[in-house]
Order: sequence, then C-alpha cells, then structure tokens
Amino acid sequence: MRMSSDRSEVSSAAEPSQKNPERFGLIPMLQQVQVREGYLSAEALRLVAQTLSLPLARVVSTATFYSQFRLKPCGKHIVRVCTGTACHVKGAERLVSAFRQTLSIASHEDTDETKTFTVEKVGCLGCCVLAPAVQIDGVIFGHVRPDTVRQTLDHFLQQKNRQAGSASDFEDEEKKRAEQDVSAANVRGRLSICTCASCRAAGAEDVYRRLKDESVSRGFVVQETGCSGWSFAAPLLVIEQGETMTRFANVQDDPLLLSLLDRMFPKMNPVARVMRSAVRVLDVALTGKTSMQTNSISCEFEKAQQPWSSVLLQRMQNVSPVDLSAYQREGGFDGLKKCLQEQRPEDWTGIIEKSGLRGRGGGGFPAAEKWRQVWLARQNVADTGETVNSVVIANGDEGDPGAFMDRTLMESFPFGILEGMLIAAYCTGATRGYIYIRAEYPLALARIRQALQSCQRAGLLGEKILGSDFSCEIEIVSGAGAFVCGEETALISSIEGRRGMPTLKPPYPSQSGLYGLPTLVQNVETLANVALIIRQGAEVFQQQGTEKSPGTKLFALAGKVKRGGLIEAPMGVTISDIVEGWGGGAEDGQTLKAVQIGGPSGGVLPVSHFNTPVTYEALREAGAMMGSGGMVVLDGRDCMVEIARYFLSFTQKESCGRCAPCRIGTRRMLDILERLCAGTAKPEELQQLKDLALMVKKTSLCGLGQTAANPVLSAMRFFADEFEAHTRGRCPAHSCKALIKYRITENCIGCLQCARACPVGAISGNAHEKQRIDPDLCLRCGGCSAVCPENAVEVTDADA
Amino acid sequence: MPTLEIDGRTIKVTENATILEAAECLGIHIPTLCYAKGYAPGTSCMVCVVEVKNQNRLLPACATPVCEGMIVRTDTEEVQEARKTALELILSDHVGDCQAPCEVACPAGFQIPQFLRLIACGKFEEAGTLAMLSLILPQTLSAICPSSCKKICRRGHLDDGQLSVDVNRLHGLSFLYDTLKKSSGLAGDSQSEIEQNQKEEKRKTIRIIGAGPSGLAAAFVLSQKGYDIVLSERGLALAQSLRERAGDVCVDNDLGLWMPSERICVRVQDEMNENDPQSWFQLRQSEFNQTKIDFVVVACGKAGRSWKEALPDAVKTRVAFCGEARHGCGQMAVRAIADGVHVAHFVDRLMNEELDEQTILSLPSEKVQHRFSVHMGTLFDEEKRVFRHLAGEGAEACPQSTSAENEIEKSKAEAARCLHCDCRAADNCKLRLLAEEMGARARAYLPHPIPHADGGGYNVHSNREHVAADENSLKPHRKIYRIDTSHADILYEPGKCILCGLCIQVAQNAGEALGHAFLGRGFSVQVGSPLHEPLEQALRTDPNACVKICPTGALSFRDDCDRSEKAQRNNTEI
Repeated sequence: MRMSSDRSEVSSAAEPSQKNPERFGLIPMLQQVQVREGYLSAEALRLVAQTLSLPLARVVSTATFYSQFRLKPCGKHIVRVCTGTACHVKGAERLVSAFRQTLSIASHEDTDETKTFTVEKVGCLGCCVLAPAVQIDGVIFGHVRPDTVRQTLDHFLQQKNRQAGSASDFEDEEKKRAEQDVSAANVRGRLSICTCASCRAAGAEDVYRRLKDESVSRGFVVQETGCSGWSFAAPLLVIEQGETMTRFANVQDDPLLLSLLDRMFPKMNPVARVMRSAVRVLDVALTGKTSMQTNSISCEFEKAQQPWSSVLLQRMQNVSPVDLSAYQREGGFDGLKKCLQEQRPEDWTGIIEKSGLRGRGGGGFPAAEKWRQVWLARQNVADTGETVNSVVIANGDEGDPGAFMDRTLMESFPFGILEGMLIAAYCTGATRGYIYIRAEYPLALARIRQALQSCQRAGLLGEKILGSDFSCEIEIVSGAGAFVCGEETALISSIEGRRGMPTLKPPYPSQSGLYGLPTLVQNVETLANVALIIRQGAEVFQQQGTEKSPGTKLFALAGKVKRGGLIEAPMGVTISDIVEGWGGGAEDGQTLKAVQIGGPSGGVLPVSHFNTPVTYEALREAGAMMGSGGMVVLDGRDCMVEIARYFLSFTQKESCGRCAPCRIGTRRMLDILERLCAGTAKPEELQQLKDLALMVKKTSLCGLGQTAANPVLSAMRFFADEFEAHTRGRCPAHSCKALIKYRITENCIGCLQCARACPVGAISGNAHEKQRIDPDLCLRCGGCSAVCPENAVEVTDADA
Repeated sequence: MPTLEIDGRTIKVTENATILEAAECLGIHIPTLCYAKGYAPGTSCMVCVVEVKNQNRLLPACATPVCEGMIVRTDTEEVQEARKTALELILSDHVGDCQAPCEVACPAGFQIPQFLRLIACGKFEEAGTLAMLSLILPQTLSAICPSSCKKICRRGHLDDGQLSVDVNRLHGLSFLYDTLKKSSGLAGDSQSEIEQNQKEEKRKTIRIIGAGPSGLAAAFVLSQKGYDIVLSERGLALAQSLRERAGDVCVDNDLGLWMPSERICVRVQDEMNENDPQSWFQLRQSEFNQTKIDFVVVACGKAGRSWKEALPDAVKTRVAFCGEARHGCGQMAVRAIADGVHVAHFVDRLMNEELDEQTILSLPSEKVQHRFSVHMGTLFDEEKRVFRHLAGEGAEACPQSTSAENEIEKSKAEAARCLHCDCRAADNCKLRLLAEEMGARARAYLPHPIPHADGGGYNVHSNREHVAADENSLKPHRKIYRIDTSHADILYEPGKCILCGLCIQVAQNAGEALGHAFLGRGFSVQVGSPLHEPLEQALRTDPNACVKICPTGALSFRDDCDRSEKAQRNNTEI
C-alpha cells in the first residue's frame, strides 16, 4: 500500500523534470518524497533512480551529500536546535541536551520512544537575536531555555492542534484582506507588524492573529509588513492614528495587548469595555506589569536610532512584503521599466559600474565587472555561430551561522530582489533566472514564491516582459542543507541536481557555469541594491559609504549585545558605531571582548580594533572578513579557543570532502583545537596548528577551505595568551568544561534552588546550610549559577 | 597558442592545455597522485600544486588551464612543503599497513607474508630463494632466532588465543632448499651481473675480517655482486659462534648453498691479530698500495672497537665496519645478518662511485634503512573480527610431523594460517612512492580523539581522575579498518582509498547500471556502492580497469594462490 503511494508520489515529483528536460529534478524530487514519507527509504531511492533513469549510485550519492535528507525513519515532528554562532554562545549545546533529556532520548538515538519528536542540530536558523532558537516543523521559537523546553513543546503541540481545527490557508487570508479593504472607509487607525521568521519566533504571528480578530470590532486595519531590523524589540507593533505614529516593542498576545487596544481603540460595546478594564486592573495586580512598561521598552529602542539613513530597510518596513501594488506604489519596477525602455543593456551595466556596487556576498567583487564578463562570454560563444543565452542566479543560500541579512531581505523585500534579478538578466542577456534559497528558510521560500506568482500575473515575468522584447523565466531552487552550496560553483552543481561539490576556478561561472552557459551568480542583497541604483541613479547610491566601497550594507548584529538586530549602515562606519552605538554595547554587568565578523570565513576582532572601518579592505587587513555581514558580539565569558573550535567544527562538518587540505586538514586542525579545549594539547602543537592553517588556506580548492582557517588565525593573532594558557590546562574565560569546576562559596544561604536546578543531582546539603557540588557528577552546565540568588556559585580552574 | 614560463623556461602550448601538460613538454616533473591521463582531474589530493605568479594561493597543475603570460614555479620551498603536507594529511587518514607487522619486526626485513603465500601454494623453490636472499642463513636462524615476527604476528593476537604462524620453523625446512642445492646455489640468479663485472678490466678484492653472521652476509652479498672476497676467520671453521649455538648441521646446510664459491677465498685460523690492528694494516700497506686490497670490511664482533680506534688515516675511507663491530654491542644473529647485507650494499655503491668517499665516515651512525611504511598499530576489536573472518577458520597450530609427505602438507597448512597483513599494492602504491620521494612522515598528524557522544567534540570529564582514566580515549585514534570481500575478483579496502574518484569515472564510462559513487560528505565521505549493494553488482563490466587505475592498494586483485578458497565465501562488507 505504501509502495503504491510512493510510486505516484515519485512520478508526480518527476513532472517538473519532464517539462524541463535540461533539469534533472533529482533534488526537488527527493525533497518531495521526503515531505511525504518523512525520510528517504531504500525503496524510495530505487524508485527515484528508476523514474529518472539514473544510476542508483548517482541518486544515493546526491542524497547522502545534503544534510536535509534523512536516510532513516524519524519522528512525527522534527525539533531543530539552532547551533549558529549566537545560539552557540548562548548555550545551544545545553539546550540540545535539555531537549534530549526532556524527551528521554537514548544516547545513540535521535528520536524519542513514542516516535513523536526527533531532535537534531541545524547550522543556523537566522534568528540570531532571539538566541537560542529552535525550529519545530517550520515553526521557530526564540529564547528557549533549558527550563522552558517542556513549555515550548507543549506550545507547539497546542498550535498544531489549533491549526488542525481551523484549516485557514493562504487564500482565506487573501479574501479577508480584500474584505478589510472594503471596510477601510471608517478606519480609526492602521496597525502594522512584521511577521518575518525572526519576529514570528518572538510571537508576532499570535499577535497578528489576535489583531486580525479584533480589527473589525475595533475599527482598525492591520497589515503584515517587512522587517524594521529592530529584532531586539520584536514583535514590534506600529500604530498609526492620524498623523501620530507610535511604536510598541516586545508586544505579546496577552492581556497587556488587549489593554493597549482598549486604550487606543475602545470597543463600541460598553459591557466588554468594562470587562476589559476589570481584567486590566486584575492583571496589573497579578503581574505587576502595566502597559506603560511596554512604552518604556520603546524608549530603549529609540536609542538604537542611527545617525545614518537606511535605504533598503526604509523600504521594507512600511509595506506588506508580498503586496505587489504596494511595492509599485513606492516606485517598484520603475527601474526595470526604465531599463527596458531606454538605452541598451551595456549602458545600464555602465551605470552599475559608475555606482561602484560591489558584491555583498563577501568577496566584494565589483558587480558590473561580472556582468560584463557574462555579456562578453555570451557574445564570444555567439561569435562561433551559436546563440547562447546566459543565466542569472540569485544566491540566497545564506549559510553563515550568525547571519540573517539575506533571510530578512527575502522575507521582507522579495520584489526588490526579483526586480534586481530581472535587470541583471536584461543586462547580461539571460533568459532564465534561478533563485537559490536555503531549505532552512521556509518563509523566505513561501514569500518569494508568492512574489513570483504576483509578478507572473502582472506580466513582469515570462515572455515579452512589459511589452518589450525581453523575456525571462525565474525559477526557485530550494537548497537541501549544505553550507558549501553558497560557493558559486557548488551552487551550480546543486542546481544541476548533483552533489554540491565546488570545482576549480578558472573557468569561472561567468565563462562556463550552469550547464556550461555563461552564468551570473549574485547575492540577493547585491540584486536588491541594483534595483534601487537603476531607479535612483548611481549618484544617490554613492552618497553613502566610502569611495572604494560605496553604498550601504546590511549587518546582522547578535550575540552578547544589549540590542541585536538587522542594521543597514553605510560602508566605512566603524565597528564601534555598530556594536556600541546601535547595539548599546555589552549586556548588563559584562565587558565587551571581541566581535566575530563574517562567520566561518571571517575572524574575531578584539575591542582594541573596534575603530576599524567596515570596508572589505580594512577588515581583510585586520584579519577578519566582511563575509556576508554577520556580527556576533562576544564578552568576557567567551573563550576564544572555544570560539575558534566552534567555527572550525562548523566548516569541518560542512566541507564537501573533495580536496585533501580541506577534508583532512580542517579535521586535523580541529583535533588540535579539541585537545586545547580539553587541556591535553602540547605547546608545540600551537605552531603546528598555525602551519597547518596557512597550508589549508593556500592549497584548498574553493573558498570554503581557503577561508576556513581565518577564525583560527585571527583568534591566534589577537588572543595568543589564551591559546598558550590552554596548553597549560587553564581556560582564562572559564568556559572550557574540561578545565573548570564549580564550587559553592560561603555566601550560600541554603535555599536549595541550585539543587533543584541541577539536572544530575550533583548538589547536596541540608536546607539553610551551605550546599556542596559533587565534582564527579557535575556536568559544568552552569544551571546552578544561573538560579543562585546570592551569587554563591563560583567557577574556578579545575586544578585550583 | 598561449606562451608561458615554467621554472624560467618558456614554452608554447595548445589552447586548452593544463600546466601539468605544459610542464611535461618541458620535461619538468610534477608529482601527481589522484590524476590519471585521459580522465577528468579529481583535484582531490593537491599534491601537484604549483605557484602561479599573481595568485595568492597554490594551484593544482593537473586541472589549471594555461593562459598567456603565465609564470609558474614548480620548485619553491613553499610548493615542496605544501605537497609534503598534503601527503602527510592523506597519510594521517590512511588505514592499512604497507608492510605486515612481522615484516617490520624482522630486522632482516624478510617478506614473510609473501614467503608464506609461496609455501601455501607449493612454490617451495621460490619460497626457499626468498628466504635465502633475505636471511642468508635461514636454517641456522630457524634454530636460534628469537623470532620477533612471531611475537607480533596478528594471528597470535586474535582474541581466542590462537598461536602465531610458526615462521621460523618454516624457513628452517630443508626441503625448501633442495632445488637450490641441485642448481648449485644461487649463482644463476646473478650470473649476468657477474658477467658484467668480469668484463671490467680488473675485478675488485674485498677483505672481510670475521666470518660470523654479519661477515658471512656481507661476503655473500658482495660475492653475488661480482667482487672477489677474502674471508678471514680466526677459528677453525666458518661461523664458529653460530655452530656452537645452532649445531654444525644447520650451518653446513646453509653454507652448502653457496660455499665453496670461486669468488670467496676462505682463510680459517687466519693469523689476524684482533688486538693489534695497527700492525695488521702496516703489514698490508703494500697490498693496499697495489690495490690488491680494494676494501676492508671489519666484522670481527665486539673486538672491532679496537680496530676503529687504530685505523690509519690513509685507509680510513677504505674500511667499513659491520655487525657488532659497527655497533659495538651484542646483536641478535638476524640483526647482524641484516647489518652485513646493509653494509655490503653500501660498499657496493661506494665502489661503483655512486657514493662519495666521505660518506664512509658517516657509516658508523647510519641506521639500516627501512622502506616507508604506514602502520595501523594495535587492532580494535572490530578489526580483529575482520581479520579473523578473512582468515577463515584456518588450520590450528600443527604439531611436528614425522613423515616427509606429511611434513609438506603440514607446512602448507601452517603457512595458510597467515592473515596476509601486508598491502597488495606495497610495491606499486603511488602514495607510498611519493611519500618516499618527498620524505613525508606517516604520523605527522595525530588522528582525532574520540568525539563525545553528544557531539560536543570532547569528553567532558567530571574530575581529574576521570581525565586520567579517559586519557586513553584521547589517544591517537583512526578510522576502523574494513575490507569489502563481496567481489569475486577484487578486494576493496576503504581505509586505503584517497578519494580520487577514478574508479567512479571508470565505472561511469563502462555504463554501470548501479554505479559506484562518493557517499556522504566531508571527512566521512567514502567511495562505495550505493545502499550497501555488493561490489560485484557495482563493478560488473570492467573491475580490472578499476584496480589498475587505483593509485593505492584500496582496490586490488585477490591473490592468485592463497585466497582462492576464501573467495568462495559470499560475504559482503565486514
């Protein structure tokens, strides 16, 4: 029975590939099978091979490359604990064990006994400000703590039941919106709230639903908008009443929200009003919170106002991300129209060149140069008598742990990206575009898909766009969980349905890329900028930024910082402007130590280098790298050796395994770092680590391996003393578990809170007496020190 | 037709040529490991990296296309160092032995598994020749050798307490040497070499002082190489000390194979005075001058120490010491023999002017060189299972037999108990040859410690005692050795695979329906057949081509004589 369903599933998944013979469709087909079956069984793989007439080895080889594909059965729901940089420094490992413990999963298993939940780790969910984050079947929960794990699981199951009860799908919402617009005549105010994945993790969806329910009776309009970037304040509710606009930070679907609504949009029904105020009084009495506190948080958020103006964020935060007409009202697609009506493609490339736009994906390669190369390569091939159309690929495979710029852009500004893609396609002679989106970003996939449909309907895609001779199709490609696919040659292999293995450059994709065609691979942020440059002209773009790196750049600020979020800053501002100015510096009671820039290909910069301007060159000189723009702030509690180990373990896991320096070299470097963290490394191994790092950097085949050593080299450069301390068995930050111990000091009042918090029962003692920690049982999880009201838990060197 | 410069030399090559091809045209050697002509470059090993001007990294020559005005350097220190590191990294992840533990343990480097294979399939003459050439006095050693080979034999380590293969008894079997005796020793083997030397105007004479194990070994090897030997022995007969320990019969049997020889002049009860080497040299001053003595090898045991001190300057570069005389301390007979062989080769190269005369002065400290070899070390329990399985039930240790025919059968059975730990590609493994060429170290990088079960990367220890107890788990660790025996003709050892992907390409070109492919990602990526299908299914069409193209011993033919029975087993991967 199962087999038959399998068969039909497989053949229906094969359809896109038949429609498009060039495309193998192997990966989409595997994805569909997995959605239906939960995992890829041996029979399913055989059927896929048969259906696509591929050797089984091809299918299995591809399936085993991507981490999204599961080859063994899993539970009904999958819990993905984010282990991105921000989540890592905020205790993601502890959270993984908490989930396993709560679900009582056996040590060699990943699924609980009732086969309900499977727990696995994921590279990064892009909700770094809400670290540690957890994704359960596509729903993201932020700020999950080991003690709220049960609560989170229950919350998820409740939500699941509710959804099952009221099957409200997207079209319903569309209808509702239409209804709402009709009744817009007697609107008393406009409410907007961002529902991007990160804000949803903070509870924005529940708030939005509540506001929707209340909107008719209270006479206001509510809309979903793109993200403002103030993730630390999420969910952020913006209320416009006439001329006044008020922002409310950290709004939740709770009585406080209703009391706020009562105040601003009192219900017509007096009985209900009385009841609400009664609830409000009761609530204040019970929780001690008032709606005034909501406002006071917004003061904190006002401080995050920046001395510069943003371009992209400005356009994202006021309009509904999937509303084409709203985008067009703001001047959307004017750039494309201009392109198609005036001048030749080369002239527009000239404008991009004049603007000085550089690739936002990390390398900082001038965009116009790439375009020209593709245009020329296409013509060169065309000279031989063949006419070749090039390909444009938008790279939305944001795999860097600790980065969420591309996610936010794709979720909040899909039309901007698509317009940029179309302009790039026009200028490079492409008739086909692909937008490659990470599998971990389901909302981005959904919104881009929706935006594509809207464009299709409006004649902005397909044959003869806007009545011109230019035709272009854009297709979405969903990644399947491989960081290396952010590398352009690997990305192309992945779109072709193969293992995402990079190839040697040259030949560059601009010469021979997807299916051998000249291919432009450009980051989504670059493309979003393209549309604005064409619309407004190169001069406006150049007004911000430096001479060599003009324009603004999105940065994701997270980690041990007061205010985290998405920041758009002109190139050339200093790190201090971002971390201390916008971000407000370290969390209370802590001191800043360093900032990690550029994820696994970047490096750490210590506080002493915070006046470094953020440009491609300056960062590279300082030993870090722009990368895609993720910044994770580290404070005194973070061990730099451990951070280096963390990044290397990430790249090591994500290495494709093709070339020996990366495959084995990163593993051997990680060995040394692991020994350092365990306190068993010898002093001479530091030199070996450095030599190996330089060699891996020099000889690896692709960008992943060439930059893998950066976090290690920069940490060794700026924090050499910490590395040396580890060879003597000491961890100065008291972070490496093998090198520390927990002790209860004389301050202990015997309240027993620590004993209750200890997951292994290592704390003993009578009430009202000093407690004792059994070092043999202690896991060094830090749970006791987190709950101690007297600060009586001390961390010392293990041999102290 | 782009023009480029490699190591300062200019060449014009065709449009799509690679740096490797261009270098080949110039006769510049760039080492390659994962590359094979006619196949798409795998760019996996990075052993062929070169420096290209204006590139901030090193590029693999096998895949980088040339372009106009390119300036390439193939010989910089950085390039050499990078190639060596690449090899060392590959070696750090290479699971398998080049040589069997017994071979490594034997001071004479006797190829024991090969010897046992030959016996097991009844090729006694070849077995005898092999033993004779490496051990010189195989039957004598059989009686007195402490047999390090047996102590380390994996057969004896399998945990049901089996006995090691009785190697020393086997090389003491006289019937192995019967045919050698008939064909009057081993002269035939090196006849052509002797003829070659005879053509020379003058044959060279070497005096060997002392006819103990090392002196005899040196005498044998040098006589085989065509030198005239004068062998002096203080006692009444050759190998006096060995006779005392092993008995006359063994020694006479061994010596009977090549003694008397027309090239070796034996002087027993020679008047040489161990205590007065000075006068010995003085007496023969004229002989040295007339080159009646071309070289002296001192092999007179520990007494050789006084010779070293008494060496006149004039002859310093024409005297070598071997055996106990070289090391100045007591030695096992087999080690002395190995030393005699080693010094004899050294002397030969010196006489042929392959070596500088000055190098003789460094000889006293020079160690006997062994070939480069990777070792697995102690086996894990899983691996013991693999080996036991490979060996099959096997014969139990066989008791001494009485009748001759029984003796032959029993010996074959005993030899068949060998687990064949040596690599089937030991002599044509590109990885091993390159490692020797570049002086790579097999254990430059210690493999990773066992990761913590939760993937935290390291074990979290609750107290210091635990740390101490768990330090074993942080000891160098490696992948588990496995062998895939599911194919009737070939064997696959994944631990030896360097992931070049050439066999995948061969299978693809052959149009395999099932196919052979890379599986997994990153450090754990492997080449194999999908979904644990037997290798037989994956490589149906042209398995031989796969074995031939494999640069290491990962894919190999099953040995013809001893594994045929085991090939019957339809076991898949163990």
